[in-house]
Amino acid sequence: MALCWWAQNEAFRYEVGVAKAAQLQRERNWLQKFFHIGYSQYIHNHPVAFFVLKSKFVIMLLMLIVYPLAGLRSLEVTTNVYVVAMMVSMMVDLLATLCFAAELKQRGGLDLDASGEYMTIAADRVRLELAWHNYQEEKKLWDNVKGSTEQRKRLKAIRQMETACWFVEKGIRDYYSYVDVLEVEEKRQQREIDICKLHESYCEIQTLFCAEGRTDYDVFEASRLLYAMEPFQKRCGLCRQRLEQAPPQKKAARLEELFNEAAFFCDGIADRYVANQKIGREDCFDCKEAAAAVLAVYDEVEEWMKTVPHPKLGMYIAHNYGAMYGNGLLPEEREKRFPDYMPKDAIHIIYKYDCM
Amino acid sequence: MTGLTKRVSKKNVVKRQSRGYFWALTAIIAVMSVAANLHNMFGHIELFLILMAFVWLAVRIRNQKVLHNIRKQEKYLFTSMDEDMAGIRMQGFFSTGVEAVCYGDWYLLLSYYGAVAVNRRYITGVKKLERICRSGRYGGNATYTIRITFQTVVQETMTFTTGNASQAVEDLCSWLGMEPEERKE
Repeated sequence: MALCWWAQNEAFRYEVGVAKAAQLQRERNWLQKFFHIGYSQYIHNHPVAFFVLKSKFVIMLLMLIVYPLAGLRSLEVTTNVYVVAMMVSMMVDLLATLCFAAELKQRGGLDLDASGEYMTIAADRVRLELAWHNYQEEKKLWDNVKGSTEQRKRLKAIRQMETACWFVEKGIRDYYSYVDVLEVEEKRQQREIDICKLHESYCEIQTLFCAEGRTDYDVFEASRLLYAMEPFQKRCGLCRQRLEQAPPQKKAARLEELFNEAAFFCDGIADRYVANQKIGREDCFDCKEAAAAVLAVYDEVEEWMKTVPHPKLGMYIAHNYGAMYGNGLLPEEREKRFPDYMPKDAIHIIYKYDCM
Repeated sequence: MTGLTKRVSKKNVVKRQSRGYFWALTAIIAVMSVAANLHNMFGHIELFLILMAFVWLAVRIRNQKVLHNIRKQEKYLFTSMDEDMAGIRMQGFFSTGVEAVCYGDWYLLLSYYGAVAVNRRYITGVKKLERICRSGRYGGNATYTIRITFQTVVQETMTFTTGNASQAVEDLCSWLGMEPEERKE
């Protein structure tokens, strides 16, 4: 049944184009959307197929109500009838959707939109626009809730804003990953504007969370596209404080915490670099700067290790040196430090698939 | 940066390819078996499980072919890939595209569609490069793979499959210093 509903939406999108379909759907209320009322006036190529899908959806809905009632008497007979009916309805679904599939064939086997654009790209663009729209709506909702006395309500509204923001980020990551989009200069400018707006909204959410007393929320952890050095330095400072104040039997554990902070930052930066690379922003931030900050913390840890012995930290640091060497981020003067972990003539490249 | 997460070993190279199938199939089996038992629809859940087992078998066979080829090379050259590649790391399953990892005499091409693992001392020539259309021949999103056939020292052929990145395969050929005898589209 869900498939039938989905097929109707897909057919509608094929007929009028993704962007216009989203606009038309936004104008309708939930009842019209659920039963597809007032959609058939836009469908010119296969009106009969669309009618079949539409009426079958209603029939299936009725069956869903009738089945448990009939099943009260005997489940065995009704199950057989129901399974046969399901199969027949699936066959009808297939036949109806084949009409639209034939249309796809006519467009040269490509998933072109009615407006001539690639359908996947257009769909992603619409999704991004919708995400921005939703975020604005959540913001309006927050304005209403702002004055309320219940903290639970306020926190819920902020969390909803955060979720909407995450969907915006997902939209940016999907839409700007296409080669066709990245070739256009205007789109690249739009990408920068979008990311700036995203950063602003994340910062806004963080200040809201801080006002509610949730100080553990961090922009750096929330988003994959942003680069934040300050929170890392702040956290390292906290770790250092705890390390100095700790009693001697707990020093080793605290030292490991400091090391972990740097290692997590290292991992996070790698993730962010890859995510930015996929949307064509190779020079979005300076990786060498981040690597230098991490190496400074490693040096500090090694100095501490002279007074506080730890069984495994030395090995961990050597491993991370090796990984940084593999990514080409280790400065030359440090390469002699752990020669066993630095394979000299190793190659590591990631090739993109051909566009065929 | 520690973006390179996994050790390069025989086990990890094949596990990298089948991890996606693992999660998808486990979810499908769980949901379908519960649904089938609740409604008593099929009556024979064994049939369904046997069907799933065929897919598992296909994955298993594909992985065993790669492992078999690697073991053959190791046996002839008296080496171990795990020891030779110690200290080298690769990205995981979620990196898109074809990942090339090379150290010493070993050269690996890792992708969702299959793995290539060759030793320079075992190969005498590249016999054939073949681009194969796997799906979407009649519209939709077409997926292609590249099949490479090597000529070995013991006068045999060895076949591997990888994703559709022709630059990766060209780089492998130039690293070996060999020109493919036959190209097929």
